[in-house]
Amino acid sequence: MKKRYLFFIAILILTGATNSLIAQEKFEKESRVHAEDAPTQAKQFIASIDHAGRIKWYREESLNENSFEAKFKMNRKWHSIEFSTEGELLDAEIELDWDRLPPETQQKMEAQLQSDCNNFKLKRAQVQYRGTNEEVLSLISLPEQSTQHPSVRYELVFRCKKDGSTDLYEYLFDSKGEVLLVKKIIFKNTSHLEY
Amino acid sequence: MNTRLLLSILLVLLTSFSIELVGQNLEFGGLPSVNFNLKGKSHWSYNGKIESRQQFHSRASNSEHERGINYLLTDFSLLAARKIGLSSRLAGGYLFRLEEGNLQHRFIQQMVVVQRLRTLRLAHRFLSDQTFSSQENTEIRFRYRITMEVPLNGESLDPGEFYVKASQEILYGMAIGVHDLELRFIPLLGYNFVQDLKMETGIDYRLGSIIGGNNEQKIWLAVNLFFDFG
Repeated sequence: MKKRYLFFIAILILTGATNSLIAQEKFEKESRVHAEDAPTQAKQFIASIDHAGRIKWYREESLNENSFEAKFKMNRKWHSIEFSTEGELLDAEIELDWDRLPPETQQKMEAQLQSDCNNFKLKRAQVQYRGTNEEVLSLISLPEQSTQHPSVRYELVFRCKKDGSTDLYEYLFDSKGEVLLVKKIIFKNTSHLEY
Repeated sequence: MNTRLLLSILLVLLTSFSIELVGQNLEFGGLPSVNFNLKGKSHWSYNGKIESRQQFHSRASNSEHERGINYLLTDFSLLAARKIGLSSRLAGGYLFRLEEGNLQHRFIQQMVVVQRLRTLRLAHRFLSDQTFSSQENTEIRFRYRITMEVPLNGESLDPGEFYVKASQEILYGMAIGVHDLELRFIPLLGYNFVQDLKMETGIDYRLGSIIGGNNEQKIWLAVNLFFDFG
């Protein structure tokens, strides 16, 4: 019995010792939720998309805001639609083949990556739609025309080698290929997978 | 490759072991370990590990049973690792083992490549080690381990979340006049308390002496703690 108490005390001390580190980190958590827990307005929007496959709902929590995300595969591409907790549409992100981008936008993006990295390799491309429900719905429904739309944004995730270091970056571009946002992706630690 | 397919592959690999608990040398015990990981400057990181073994039960092939908790050994290791790519790391270090008053020395070299898929992570570990002691012949081993981590709530592992970790490892060892093969299968359930602390528990199953014919089975109840600093 004494040993059991000692074990629990040890766990409390260990978790307490690391709590001080949480406050210094950006808190972001994604968890799977049941469809019934998602906002009604969000579910109505998803229901209005034709041929949507199996929908997975997630709740994302961060220090600044919480949101809901619906993820599904349609036309062999992953779709991710983000909503506020009230169900208001925030944005839609859809996987995109690099060669579907307009050639001028492609060239501008490539020039940007070549100037920022000694060497780079594209890992993932996504198109991002923002706007009213009707606008976003029509862009999702007509992906062939969507890349011509001035409101679209592109998100590229790529491996970049520079200054002797290889890292993963996420760039957000506007429809003309101008950079809007640059993020370096920090991996979650993998020590428990390595040792 | 989707999660279901990977889980199916893992299930096939698992069943391929076909654990037979009769007629073989069998050992059952506890295998607690504590890992300390420290991020160093630039691309360097360090891992310190203490792992101990206690035997709860053993049965020789001649059906002699031995029960009761017997302390077997403790390993202390220290590895230095350097990131060599986006998802790969090269490490080397030293381990010493205290077993029945004897000391064994082991040098370790390893390379790990981590694949980040949509809903899981896969780690491939290629390892070689050389063990020296005054009591036994020098042994050289080559090992490959694949580890899969699946978060149980969401697409990536967050604080306050459970995960399943399953590893399969193949080890080829050779000493003077002897060579042998060992297989390990380690299914674990883990909990990520915070980003810097994880705890796992499960079974560490080892099937040894495969080439020699007189198979040895060892089943350890594993409890692992991982602390990350820096």
